[in-house]
Amino acid sequence: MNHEAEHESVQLLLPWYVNGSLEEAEHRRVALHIAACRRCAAVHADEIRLAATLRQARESAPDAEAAYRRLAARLDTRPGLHERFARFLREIPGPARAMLAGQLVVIALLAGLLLMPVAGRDAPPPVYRTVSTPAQSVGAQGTLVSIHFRAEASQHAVNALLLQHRAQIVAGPNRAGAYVIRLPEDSGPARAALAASPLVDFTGSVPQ
Amino acid sequence: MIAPAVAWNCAWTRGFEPDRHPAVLKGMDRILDPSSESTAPANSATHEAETLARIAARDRMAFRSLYLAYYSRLYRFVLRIVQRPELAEEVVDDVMLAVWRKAASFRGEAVVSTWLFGIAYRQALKSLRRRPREQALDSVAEPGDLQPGPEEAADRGLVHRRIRLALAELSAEHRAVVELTYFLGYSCREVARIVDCPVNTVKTRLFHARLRLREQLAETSTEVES
Repeated sequence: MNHEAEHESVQLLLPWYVNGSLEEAEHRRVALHIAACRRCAAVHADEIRLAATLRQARESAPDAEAAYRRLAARLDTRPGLHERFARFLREIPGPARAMLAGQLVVIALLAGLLLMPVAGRDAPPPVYRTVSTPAQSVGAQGTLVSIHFRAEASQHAVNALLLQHRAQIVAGPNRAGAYVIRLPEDSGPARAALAASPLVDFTGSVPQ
Repeated sequence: MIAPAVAWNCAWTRGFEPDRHPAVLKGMDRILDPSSESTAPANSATHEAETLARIAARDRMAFRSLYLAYYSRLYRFVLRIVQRPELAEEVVDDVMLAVWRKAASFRGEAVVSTWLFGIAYRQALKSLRRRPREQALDSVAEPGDLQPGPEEAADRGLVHRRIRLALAELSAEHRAVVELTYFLGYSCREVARIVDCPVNTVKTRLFHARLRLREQLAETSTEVES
């Protein structure tokens, strides 16, 4: 080791020389060096001054017994899931916590999207309608009625009349121009109204 | 140029195991904290390892004795790093709770004190990362507070405050090395174990910390001498 390196080596060790924690051989080496080297002896004197100055800033500590009593109450409590999760979150640095929160939101959204069809599983299947699809369905339990419209009744007016009474054409026209329509269960008033309509020639019963 | 010296110093520290050098440890204990229980014969490294084994077996008395032996030193060490008393208490509580719950994980690779201070160091840095924007009381002092008149300079509290402010100017990692060396009397090797970095890094950290402290405390040192 050259001279400069020896000075540096000694100066790096001075804090531990001063605090007395060097091994015996090392301690002897530093002691011999500073006894023979004015420069390092001056740094050593500085080091002693610095250590003495710093020691004045020794912090006081709270009462250990009181601190122990406070902690002792927590010794037998296992941290709950909530506390452990909160601790886990607290230990994540700020930016990483924000990223984690963002990821959780994304995961929640994706999970929501995945669950959505499941939530609608019990709903009725979607109904596809075309121009020819009837506006409403009377069902198979309605009353069948034969009906003959007046020749001057327009298709538009006939449609409106049938819709008004929730009637549906199920057959016809036959050669005589009569149709079979189905009326809802409570068809009495509707049938009477149809028979009285100026668009209708006559109505009649159909054997069920 | 520090590198050649550092390379040389690595050789003497490489084989040093504190556990195998009771004489060194004994000397260190004297320096560590004369007011604490560290000077008691029962507080040897072996005894502490046994204490830890008893803690692992849920012995509350053993835990209490370890707690009381270390509380003040751990608190001052953590306070030096985090610089906030309430946070320091919280961190020390976390450290001791970890000891209570995980004493069985101590494998005796280091002395108990090094192990404990290592946990405290990591917890303290972690707590600083969690709350980096909160300022310590000391670091928000008015500039005028740092310019005492001749009479005020004699005031011990003011000198104390100036030293704390000078230390607050250092990074948390540098403050930790300063506290472990100047206040707690640890050897270079043990400081390296506690802060989990190479011995050479510890030396250079302290070297730079000393330079900064000397600059900032030049006036205070003169006052102290006079």
